[in-house]
Amino acid sequence: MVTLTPMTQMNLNDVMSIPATALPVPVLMVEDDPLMRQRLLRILAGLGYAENSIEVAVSVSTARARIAGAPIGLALVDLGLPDGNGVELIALLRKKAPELCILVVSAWSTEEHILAALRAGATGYVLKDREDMEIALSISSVLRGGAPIDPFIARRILELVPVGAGESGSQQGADAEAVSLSPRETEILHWVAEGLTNREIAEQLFISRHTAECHIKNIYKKLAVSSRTRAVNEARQRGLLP
Amino acid sequence: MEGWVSVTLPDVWGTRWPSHDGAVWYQVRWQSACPDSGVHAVAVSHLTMAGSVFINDTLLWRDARLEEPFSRSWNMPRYWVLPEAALQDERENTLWFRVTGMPHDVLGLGTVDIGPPSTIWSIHARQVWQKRNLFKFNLSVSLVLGCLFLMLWSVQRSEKAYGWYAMASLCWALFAYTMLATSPWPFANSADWNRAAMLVLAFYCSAFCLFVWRFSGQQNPRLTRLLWGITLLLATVIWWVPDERLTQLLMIVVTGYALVFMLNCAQFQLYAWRDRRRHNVLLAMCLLFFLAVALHDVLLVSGLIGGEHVFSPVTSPIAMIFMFLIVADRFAGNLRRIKAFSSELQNAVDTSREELTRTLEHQHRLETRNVRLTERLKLSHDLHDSLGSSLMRSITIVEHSGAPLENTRFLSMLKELRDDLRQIIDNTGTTVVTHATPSAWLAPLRHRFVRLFEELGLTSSWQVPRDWPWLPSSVSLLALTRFVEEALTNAIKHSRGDHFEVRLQADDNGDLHLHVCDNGIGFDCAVADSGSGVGLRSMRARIDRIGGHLTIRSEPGKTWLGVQLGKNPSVEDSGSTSVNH
Repeated sequence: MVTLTPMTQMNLNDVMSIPATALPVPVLMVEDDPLMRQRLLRILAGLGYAENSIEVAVSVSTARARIAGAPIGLALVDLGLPDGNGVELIALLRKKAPELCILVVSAWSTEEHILAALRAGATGYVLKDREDMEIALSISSVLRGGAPIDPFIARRILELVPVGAGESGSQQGADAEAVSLSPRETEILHWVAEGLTNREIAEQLFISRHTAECHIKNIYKKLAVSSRTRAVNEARQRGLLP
Repeated sequence: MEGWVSVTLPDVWGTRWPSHDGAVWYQVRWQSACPDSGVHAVAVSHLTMAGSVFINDTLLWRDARLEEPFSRSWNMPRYWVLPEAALQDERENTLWFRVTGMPHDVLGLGTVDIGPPSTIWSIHARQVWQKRNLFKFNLSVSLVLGCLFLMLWSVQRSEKAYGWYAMASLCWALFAYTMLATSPWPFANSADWNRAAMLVLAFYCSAFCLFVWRFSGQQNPRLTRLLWGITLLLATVIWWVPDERLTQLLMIVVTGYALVFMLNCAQFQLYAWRDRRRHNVLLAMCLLFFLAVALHDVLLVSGLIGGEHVFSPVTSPIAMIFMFLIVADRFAGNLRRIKAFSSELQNAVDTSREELTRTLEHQHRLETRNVRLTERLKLSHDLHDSLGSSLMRSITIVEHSGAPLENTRFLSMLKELRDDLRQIIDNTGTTVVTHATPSAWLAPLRHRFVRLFEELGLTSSWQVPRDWPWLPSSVSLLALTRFVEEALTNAIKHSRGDHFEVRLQADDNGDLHLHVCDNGIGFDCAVADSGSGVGLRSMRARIDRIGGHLTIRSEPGKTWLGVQLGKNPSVEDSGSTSVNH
């Protein structure tokens, strides 16, 4: 009863038809659970990835060693690893490659963990306990340049990041401008919190879906900047920085 | 010589010639021991009341007024250098004193000293000191004390003793003034002046008694009324007493008040003996001194003892010293009390602050524990209602199916359990999940499914009211969430439809209606409900548990699942779900 019907399967394949050449390689998968690794491998294969383009790391230390090596095309990072937290890996990856797609694969994670990953520089996140189909859709969406965002994340960002002063923002310092939300970004977050998808928001605002997702990516970047700014400010206050 | 009587100075002629009404002449003759002894000077201690002085036949000096109102020279020492021209060449010269005053007064002449100026001046200076300066000093001190205590009393009315002391001091200052005045102004005659002077003394004694009583806290209400009654009566009656009786009355009244004063001083010694606090002892010492002075002066004035000077003028400075000591002592005592009180108050404040902190901490702990308990209760409630019942149902299914279950069947059961758990975790996470509006409640679900629909190229429409007609319980919301999730998942998987509809609305009775529709191929409700499918049956069980009513209609092209939820769902109705084909 639960297996996908042929029709749905077909639908999915239609949607996920990304040319094999457009798939970023290699894929770094950081996951300690063998079963979950198999599941992800199956999903990635369904998306068109060849088995030899996927590299697996089972701990933070092995992942670190791999990151130090050749460039990576896509990273799937689990947060709860036996020898540490995946968030530090995300920060490391982001530092090395600013444009890299980094997906958090999270199990039962609370929004705090997801926010921490986004602040460290993650591009998006998928939840392990969703159906394979949903996970596959999330990955393909990210690969096509999308930016997944959930209502509860949107609400938290609205609470966390200060809203900019709009046009007069130019008078403020560069730091403040960089980490405060523009009116359009705030509007988008409000719609997300109401449960609208990126496409619906784009239709609502008469912009392209690509533009809407660019806005969300910018919001994520600001989240990362704001966490960095806060760290710098804190360091200044403690006298660690001039 | 006829009519002349030899007397010794100082002399009072009032007693000698009581009925005499007019002036009296004194003749003082002296012979210089040596004609070339040089300049002569005269000092007269006093001259009661007014008069004039002649040397031989020449007028040497005279008072401003020799009839009523008489000038008052009775306490004024005089000093003259005798002009040589007026002196006779013979060795014998005569000084004439014409003394006059109101009849019945104590008229007479004081001592007269004649000699070389150097000697006489020193005698005169001593007399001036005793009869003038001492009284001036007395007057000043009494005025200062009076004003000071008047101010103290006016800013602190409860200190009645200070008020009475101020009155006594001012009266004493007036009394000193009667000694110094040289004319009876503002009175028209000497008799009225004497009456006023006596009243001043009476008021002084009365006020002083009141001061002592108030100071020591003795009430004596009857005595107070009696004393002031007599004093006020006297103040009224005295103006009608005839002049010829006045002097006798004055003698009686002054003696009486002096006695009252002395009795009061003596009584306070006893009081201070019993209550030996410092200010009482100080006042007792002061009053003992007053007592001695008053006794001496009364005896002196009444002629029972000899002596030249009354001591009353020196009481003022002594009184000043004692009063200042008493006030300083009180002030210091008050200051000590205030300090002690402040530290006491500080202690009390500290204690109550600590108590408050403890109480608040305790309250906070209680509240925290309560919140934690409530949360735990809610969580276990949620677990029991969703995950627990799903688990029980799955166990029942496995137990009652004769044959081993298919893998897919197991999988669907496990997935249902997982979804239940996921919902509970989402709803009891670290964040406060907001269900304030229907759209906020449905937002995560809507977002998740619409994204799926978009990826799959399907369309959907979602309609929810702006506000809740009433807010369902969290358990109900959890069940409704799972209903929508389950219905949509099933529809995506099995219906092959391309449009889905989710609608929440409230009817006129306030019941909530939640519908999920699709335009797919449909299914046989009877088979689905009674058959092997876990999905529909668990959905129905879930809705029953929250007292809702599940309706399912299905036909090709249109499948409709609806939940009706009343505000106060009755448990009896919960089983009456219906299936229409």
